[in-house]
Amino acid sequence: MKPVASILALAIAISSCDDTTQVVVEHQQQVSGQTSVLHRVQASRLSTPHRGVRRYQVHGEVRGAEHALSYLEEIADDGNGCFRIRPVEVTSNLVDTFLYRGLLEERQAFLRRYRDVQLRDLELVFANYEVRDLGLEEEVAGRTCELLSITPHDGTRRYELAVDPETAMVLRYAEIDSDGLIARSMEYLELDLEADLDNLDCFENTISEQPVDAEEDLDYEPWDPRVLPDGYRAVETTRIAGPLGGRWLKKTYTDGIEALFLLQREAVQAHVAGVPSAPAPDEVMVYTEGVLTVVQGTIAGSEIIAVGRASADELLTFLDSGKP
Amino acid sequence: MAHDCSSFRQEIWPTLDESSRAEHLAKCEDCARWSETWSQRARALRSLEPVAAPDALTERVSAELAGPPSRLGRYLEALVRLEVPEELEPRIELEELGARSAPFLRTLDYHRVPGVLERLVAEEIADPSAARARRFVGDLEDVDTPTALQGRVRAWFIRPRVRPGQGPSLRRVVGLTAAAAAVWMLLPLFRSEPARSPRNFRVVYVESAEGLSPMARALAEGLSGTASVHPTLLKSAGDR
Repeated sequence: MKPVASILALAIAISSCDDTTQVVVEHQQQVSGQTSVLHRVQASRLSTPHRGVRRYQVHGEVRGAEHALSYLEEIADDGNGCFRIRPVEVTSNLVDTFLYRGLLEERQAFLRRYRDVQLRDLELVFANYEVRDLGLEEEVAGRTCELLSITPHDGTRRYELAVDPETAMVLRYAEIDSDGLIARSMEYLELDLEADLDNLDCFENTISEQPVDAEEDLDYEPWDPRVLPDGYRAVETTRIAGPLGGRWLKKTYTDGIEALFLLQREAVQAHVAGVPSAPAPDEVMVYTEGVLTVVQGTIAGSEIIAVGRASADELLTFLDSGKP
Repeated sequence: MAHDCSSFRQEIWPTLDESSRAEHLAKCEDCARWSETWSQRARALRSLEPVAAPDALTERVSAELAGPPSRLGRYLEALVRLEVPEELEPRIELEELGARSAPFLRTLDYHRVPGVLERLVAEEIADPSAARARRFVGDLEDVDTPTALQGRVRAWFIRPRVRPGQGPSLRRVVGLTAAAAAVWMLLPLFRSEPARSPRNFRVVYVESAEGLSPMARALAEGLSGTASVHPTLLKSAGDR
């Protein structure tokens, strides 16, 4: 429910009668309880020391063919930035799993940071999604978890989360599409919260990502798209540097759960025999894989990348509205 | 209750013969109540008329069982997982089932009786005649609403027409026109999105991630939990 509608509903309810007031108070208490649980879930992500074995499954599409991918991974995380995620068993109907396992291992920093369902902005979670405590329990990796259901108001999908009440870790989640099919899921099969992590061989992450101060003097004017996909807003600006190609300014937008990234850097002007050649034409390429869209190109002297769970049209409109 | 009823029912109850059970129920009020509840449910379930599965469903399930577990398996996994009622656990012996159907049944062992069925059985037990009456009403043939009733409903919901001589006055017409004009002029002020314009750049749609920069690929892979598939990584059709 939108904030204004909530206030109106509350005002009407309070003015009507004592019984209704009681119901409203109970509703507020319920929401407050949910908020507290979700705050803990948000805080526990990446900060709970543990070792474990997880299974990740995703049903996507590769070159027009249905791709059912599943892998087991061993995870060790000291909760303080030192981690190691090792895919140990990959099954796929389409790809050579031995080579694929190597690619996944190379991407472990990105998988840890971005892959799993996360509550990026609780205010937006409540604005854009219906959060329900299913009142059910489920055992995951030997721990009794409570089940939460999070459904966007447009009903296009549903997330089911099994949360360990003690650690607030999400030990299982499933994203279920509008046909009732699992689109992707993650589940801890083993979990050790008392593991010895002192001698953990940390993954050497060569990509650094630092927050950017709003006052920071940038060499160029940053893009600021005004037309965002429904329900989204900007939540973070960082600078990424590393071997994947120079320094990028990265803006993160979210609808509470899903993320949309906009990366920008100055386009390098090509030189021919020491003479600068004509600037690259304004052009972008659009690539869609399942529910994700990637737009990449050069516009007005900036190299731009936009990646997110949005349609190509939404991302192009987003970019079109962002030129400085 | 002098003993742990829960573990007694799980571990000892299935091993007892009828006379030992009757002897125990005579002594333990809690177990007697439990037994009576389950007997009632069993009677109610037995009284339900068996209904054959539609042919289409039978064909679909047979086809799914014959092939690799795909949509059906995913659908079953998507159902909310619930624990098995403890009374049923000892009776489930997956080992005795054929190896082919076991993977499907393992996904089912997280589920319990659908809520609707549970509710219907509970209603049947609580008040059999009322439940039967409700089912009977559902079977009744649809009949047209009597004309007199339709007339009454129409009288309630349809606004009376304006009689001649009571039409809108010139002042009201002018007022409404002025209000509409004001709304039309003020509307652009309330629009949150700028009007859509043609793109200011050229757009090329590609079918492969190969042309994307390493950073774009890494972010997409991070979000999806996959790795970009280079054509050389694809299995040959015979291997699939």
